[in-house]
Amino acid sequence: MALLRKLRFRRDHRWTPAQLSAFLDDELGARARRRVVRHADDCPECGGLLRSLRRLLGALASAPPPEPVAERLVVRFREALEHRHGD
Amino acid sequence: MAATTGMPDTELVELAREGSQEAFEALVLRHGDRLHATLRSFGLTTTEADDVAQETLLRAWRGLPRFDGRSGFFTWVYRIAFNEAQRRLARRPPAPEQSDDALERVADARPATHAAAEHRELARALDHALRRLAPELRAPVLLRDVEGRSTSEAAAILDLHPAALKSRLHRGRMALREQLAPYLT
Repeated sequence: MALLRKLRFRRDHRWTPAQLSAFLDDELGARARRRVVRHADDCPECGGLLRSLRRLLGALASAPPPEPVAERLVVRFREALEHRHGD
Repeated sequence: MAATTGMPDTELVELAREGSQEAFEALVLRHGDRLHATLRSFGLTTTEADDVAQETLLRAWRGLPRFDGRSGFFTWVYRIAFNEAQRRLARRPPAPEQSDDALERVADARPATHAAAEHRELARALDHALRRLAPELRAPVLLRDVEGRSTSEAAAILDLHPAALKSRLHRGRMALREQLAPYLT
């Protein structure tokens, strides 16, 4: 049993890192999802990788709201349209 | 603009395709902020993003009769914007760093928490890491993780198969994680 566990751990250790984006984007099937969770719980390296990717996505998503520029874009669009019609 | 207030995008797009400039401008008012922010995220300065947005909107307006509706209207517009942005970036003289304000939306995040200083340090490091990321990996990360686009939208904008988009997204995230490891543990 110990040998089987060890083999499964090695196999999952090779497989898991490539699945983490899909895992975080909720794009894995239920079985693959359980496999990632199980391995990330057992493996400090893959568990750490998962936590750091989660933190990275949090930082990427924390950009402030966009500048309010839409009215300026409309004004410029009108001017450009008039200018090109006048050519 | 009163007649278009509250009108769903699909109706505005239809009216714009029939030649209503008012409907097209209503769409710009509704989505222009995000379009501009996306252009900034691609690495353009505010001035460049203004110019590229203008060119994008003119192309979209002129191309509307040919818009076949196979993709969403704004996916189509973003695709024009992405191509225009690439053209603009390619015309730039080579420089050691990109524009001084490109991508600074990420670095400027100011969370009102006790960990603000630590977060700002991470945001600054993230800004630098994004600048160093290869463009083909950076665009998927920006569209999915900064702009919050879906996989299918981002793939359509970048003219990639969704599987290719996912692969580049994962590689981009892993490269960023490696560069930022000290901040992410």
